[in-house]
Amino acid sequence: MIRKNIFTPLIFLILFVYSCEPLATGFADHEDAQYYYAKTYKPVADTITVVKVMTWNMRFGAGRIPWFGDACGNRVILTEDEIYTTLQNIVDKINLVKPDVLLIQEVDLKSKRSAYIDQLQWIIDHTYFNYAVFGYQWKAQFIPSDGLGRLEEGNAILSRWKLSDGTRIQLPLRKDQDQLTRYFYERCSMVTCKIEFPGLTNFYAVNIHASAFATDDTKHQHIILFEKELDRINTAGGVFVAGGDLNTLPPGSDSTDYCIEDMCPQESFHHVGDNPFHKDGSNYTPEVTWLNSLYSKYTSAVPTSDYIANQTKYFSHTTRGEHFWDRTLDYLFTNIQWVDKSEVTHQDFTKESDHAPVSVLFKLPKY
Amino acid sequence: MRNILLLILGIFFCTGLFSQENATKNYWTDGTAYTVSRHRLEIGIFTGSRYGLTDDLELSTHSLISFLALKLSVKKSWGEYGSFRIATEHGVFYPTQFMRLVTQKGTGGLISPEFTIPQLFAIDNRVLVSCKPFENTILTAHAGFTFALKSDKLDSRTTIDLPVFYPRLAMFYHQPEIDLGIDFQRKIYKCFGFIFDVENYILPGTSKNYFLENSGILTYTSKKQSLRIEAGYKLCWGKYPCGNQWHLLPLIAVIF
Repeated sequence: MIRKNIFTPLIFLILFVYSCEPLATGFADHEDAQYYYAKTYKPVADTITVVKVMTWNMRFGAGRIPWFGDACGNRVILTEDEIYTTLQNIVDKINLVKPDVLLIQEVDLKSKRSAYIDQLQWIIDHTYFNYAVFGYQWKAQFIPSDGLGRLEEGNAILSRWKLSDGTRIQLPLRKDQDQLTRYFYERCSMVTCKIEFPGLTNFYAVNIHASAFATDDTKHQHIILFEKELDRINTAGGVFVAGGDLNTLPPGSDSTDYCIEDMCPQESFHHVGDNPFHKDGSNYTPEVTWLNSLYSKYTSAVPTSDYIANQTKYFSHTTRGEHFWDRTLDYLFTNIQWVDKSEVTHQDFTKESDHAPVSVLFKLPKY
Repeated sequence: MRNILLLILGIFFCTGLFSQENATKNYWTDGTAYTVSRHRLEIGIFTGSRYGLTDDLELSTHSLISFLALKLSVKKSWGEYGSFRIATEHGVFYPTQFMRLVTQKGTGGLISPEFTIPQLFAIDNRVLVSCKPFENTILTAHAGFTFALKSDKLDSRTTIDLPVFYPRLAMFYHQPEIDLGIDFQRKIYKCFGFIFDVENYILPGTSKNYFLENSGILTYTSKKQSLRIEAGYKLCWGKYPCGNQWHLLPLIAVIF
């Protein structure tokens, strides 16, 4: 007998329910940061008077490779060799500068784009650092776009000395994206902790990576929350070193519109009918006052007068792979004093990232 | 929207969870050592379609999904040996079109557009042994291996590191792939039945070499066999490139 069965599915519902984590992870406003430890403890001095602090957006170990998301490139998934080569370059520079406290942004833990290498653990194990705290900036099990797949990126504070009170602070999400994109997109954050320097009980570090491409006031909100966190520590009598990639220009910058510099082939900006008129994340003109309050309250590693007098000396970023640094986005602040003229924007570190690290000396207060 | 549809179709294909059987009447014997009878045709839109070339030789494919990823199999029943029925199944799998469709920029891009997908074929062979230990019950054990043919090198970064997808495409990166499993089907009360199966995928050529899938499905079939409702889960555990992971996939289907 020939039997013909024609099935017509009416409803088919398949939901990926991940028992421990959703497709893209959201976060509470305040969460404990993740602690990292060196596989082997490296001894540190019992007494210390001056520490070197450095901030570096390390671009997930991509070096200057033209990645599709930020450099007009067509690369998405980098090879293990590419990542390890860049990581080695990064730790070579860290070991050369020897900061005691390092604020890093865009460090990947388990991302397909960076060969699933736990970059933070690798850096700790290949430098002299003993401890780190980490807060996610982006955590998605699978991003179904451009082949990105799994992405785990964040900000971390590394130290020779023990860290405690590690906290991840959620910053507002962009409001200029559709809900689906926002669901899978990065969730900017700050990470804070207490550094247990010998004899000090109230020394804090704060690391932020503000939104790079928001076209609304999201980035401004990030900077305001950063300032509020510094106010909170300051009001409580704490001492802090704080900084990161604020993704905006210092007060007094001569050039505030980088749309043409950042323009990819086939793109057009600043012409009648161009939509958008400005490239997302490249027009800083509306932001020129956003850092004024921060600069008025706290001490920048680069004083405004120094910056205005010689801006190119402090440039720390470019989007163009073959180009030298063309703007300043990376900052360090404290509520005490930096060692005068000790700031260095390491502009000669051109291969490791699309950001140059910024370091400065800090004289620890005596209590 | 087109990309989302393609993605869903791909999931349909890869899960194969709609190959349901009727343990009592032996209508739906996919996954067992039984074959459909001669000239019997079973057509599924999103499930497998099968045709009995002879009483012991069955041809099967996935109708709609085959436009994206052709899967064509022949199952040969070798008869009864005591209380056991033995069959072998041999198939060819051509996922090139599907993988090229999801190799794209923007939403729906499961594979980076920087890569080129060569022509890919997989050939699988498996042995199935079924018995009916109890009334209204079929218990099947199967073992097989799959090897791949490629027209060019396939970059290891093109993997789709998702449950269901990854083990079904893994042979293109590390071959051969070995699969071992059991399938237990039983009618429990009138129109109600269940299916419980366990599938193991083993890749000897890599340390990311083991995947386990377990499905549990409750089925309701109308008396006239014209309506079927299925609800269940698929539990996956595996050693993915990003590490060991497990996932739970709930499944609901209404078929008539």
